[in-house]
Amino acid sequence: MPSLQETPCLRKERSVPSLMWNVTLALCTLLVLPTVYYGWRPLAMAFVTVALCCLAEVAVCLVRRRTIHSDPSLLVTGLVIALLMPVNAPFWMPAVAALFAVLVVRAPFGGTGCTPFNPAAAGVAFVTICWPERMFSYVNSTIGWVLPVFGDCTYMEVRSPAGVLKEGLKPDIVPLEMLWGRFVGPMGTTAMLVIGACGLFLVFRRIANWEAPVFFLLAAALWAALCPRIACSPLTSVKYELMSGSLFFCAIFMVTDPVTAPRTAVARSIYGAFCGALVMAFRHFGAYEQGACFAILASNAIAPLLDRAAGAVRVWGGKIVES
Amino acid sequence: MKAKTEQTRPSGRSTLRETRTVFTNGLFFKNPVLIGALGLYPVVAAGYNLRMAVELSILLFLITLPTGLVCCFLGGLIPNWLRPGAVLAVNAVFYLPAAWCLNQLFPGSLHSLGIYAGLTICNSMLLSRCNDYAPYHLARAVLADVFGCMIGYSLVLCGFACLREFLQRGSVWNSNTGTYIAADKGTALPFFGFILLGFAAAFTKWADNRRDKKAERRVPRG
Amino acid sequence: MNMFMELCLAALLAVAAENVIFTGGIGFSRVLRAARKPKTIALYSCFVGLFSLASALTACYLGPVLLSNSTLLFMRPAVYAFCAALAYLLVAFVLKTFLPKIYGKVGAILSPAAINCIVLSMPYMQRSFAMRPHEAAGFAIGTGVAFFLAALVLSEALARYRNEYMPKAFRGLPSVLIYVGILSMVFVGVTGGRLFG
Repeated sequence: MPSLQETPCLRKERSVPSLMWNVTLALCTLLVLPTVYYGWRPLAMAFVTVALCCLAEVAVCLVRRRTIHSDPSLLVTGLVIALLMPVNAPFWMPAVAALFAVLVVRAPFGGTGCTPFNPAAAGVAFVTICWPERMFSYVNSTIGWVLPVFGDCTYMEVRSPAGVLKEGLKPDIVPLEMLWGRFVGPMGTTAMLVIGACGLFLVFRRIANWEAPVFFLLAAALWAALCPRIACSPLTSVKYELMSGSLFFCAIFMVTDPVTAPRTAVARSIYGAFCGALVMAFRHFGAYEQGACFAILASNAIAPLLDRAAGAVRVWGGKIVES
Repeated sequence: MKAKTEQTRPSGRSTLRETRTVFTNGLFFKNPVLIGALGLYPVVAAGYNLRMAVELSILLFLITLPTGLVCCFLGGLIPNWLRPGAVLAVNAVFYLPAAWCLNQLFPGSLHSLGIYAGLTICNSMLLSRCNDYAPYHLARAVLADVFGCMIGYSLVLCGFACLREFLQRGSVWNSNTGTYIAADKGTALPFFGFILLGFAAAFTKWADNRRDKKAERRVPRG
Repeated sequence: MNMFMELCLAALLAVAAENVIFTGGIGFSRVLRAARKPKTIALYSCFVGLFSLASALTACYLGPVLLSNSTLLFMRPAVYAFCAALAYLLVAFVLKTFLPKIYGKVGAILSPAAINCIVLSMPYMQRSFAMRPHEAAGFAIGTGVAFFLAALVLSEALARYRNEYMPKAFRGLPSVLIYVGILSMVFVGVTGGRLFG
């Protein structure tokens, strides 16, 4: 693993730990509302996921006979996985996702700063493929039941707005109400205002670059406006698409991953737009109601090509683009 | 293994040692799948249950053995540019009796294998051994290579299939082992095969590296 | 115009949902070899596309004949393999005899591009999706494009993800296989985990 100061994706005055601690802080704020609605289960799930990420990394370090660093990027991976799970998911699901993320996506490629794919996206994608029914059934948050911390929660399962849209139907909830986060969906993706605030925090603190998420959201909004899945006005379609599922969450926390996103501003803009369009394509044509993780994996694969193309364009145009 | 052009007659022991080396290279140290990345599709896509894996292994063996021998005896007579097409044609010829034998051993297997049965004719491991190795080596080397590669390939194919079927169904070859794991068909898909293959290839590479280090330490100094 | 749209749709299908390389693992050894020589990717993919086209069109006309009785059905894979061998030999002969300079440049990639599982899988795809000749042509062209994209992405990955921090055992082929496995999950997101073939 590169030393914590050597990761090439950072500006000079930043270090990996400070960047990751800020992202971790932002992610932790997303645990507040689910804890209020559902009890201690979301916190327990986040704790288990993060703990497993760390334990897996320790195991890898022991096998490789390397010194064990404290690596806050594991916290980010674990929290992202937990926040993308339904709150009623059995604990082994985020556990499997966490182990997949660390042992398959991180460790073979060298660890922090070297991964070609976003580990959390890959872990969630793996679990989605293996257990799609469990991934997309949610407990109704408006009833006000406190869920058992560790037990089974397969009662009163309902479809999320993303699932309803996938079937070509209009969700019961109006877009304005979705802002307050009181609707079913993956644990950390429904609190729109909090996610937006986190995004502004990360961008203004220069922890995340703005190009990728902005172009991501613009591309997704454009597609939603031009090709609505339900019979409604373009604006309503944009509101539903941007606020349902994990699209907004992925725009702020996964598309901005400095390791897997391109290095140059031009490439990041194209990357964001491509990813946004791909998310909408998955929503229209894909097999699952949420395809953000798959879109991110595909975009991670073309990120090096975009960097190379952007570099070539810089050379030909003779114009220096700030990276 | 000595090429056909050499005139010296090797001693019996060194021939046996060389034959054994060729065999073990094909079996493990230069395993066609794990090191050569040849013949990937049966392992990743078709090898999700043990029965299919065994059927494919048998079919592949029944095509590779005669084709390898034909290419060994006649391959050197064919111009290089013509040989790939000729090898494919020979594969196609030997596919017919091989497929018939397989269907006798496992009735209905050709139908259940579907596209994968026909594509064994073009298996890159088969083409590689018959086109690049067999024409330039002695018959015993070719036999050792065919057996080594086929056993190594089949072990990987069947081993993976065993694991994937067990994860998928909790049993192997439709026999009930008495356990059940809540896994969906995700493990039957090619992506899982690729990932398993990656880890197996890493293990093989690690074993290879260790063997090389031991061999270096055994070389006397001075 | 309708035929052209269907051709384009079939090509898109070959690149996305029914990508034989990522959803079926077919022809991956060739993709890997193409990716190791980035300068030849475009030419390699062109040849794969052309031979796939020939294979698909052959299947359109030969397919109904071969399906007419059980003996011919049994011999079908061998017949298609013969046709593929003939196509390669014809092209190689013509190039070697009449265009030796071009043959000198492309000879090394001609046989792997012509003789591989991708080309031989075209007849099965054609029958599986009941494609008409223009659709089969579109699918074959799309497969060539899919080959090109796969090789391009892999070549970039091979160049970029080879670093000193990787465990030694994973450098090279093992990490490439894992990379491809993770990328294959993207296609599962489209097809929903349907088994190929």
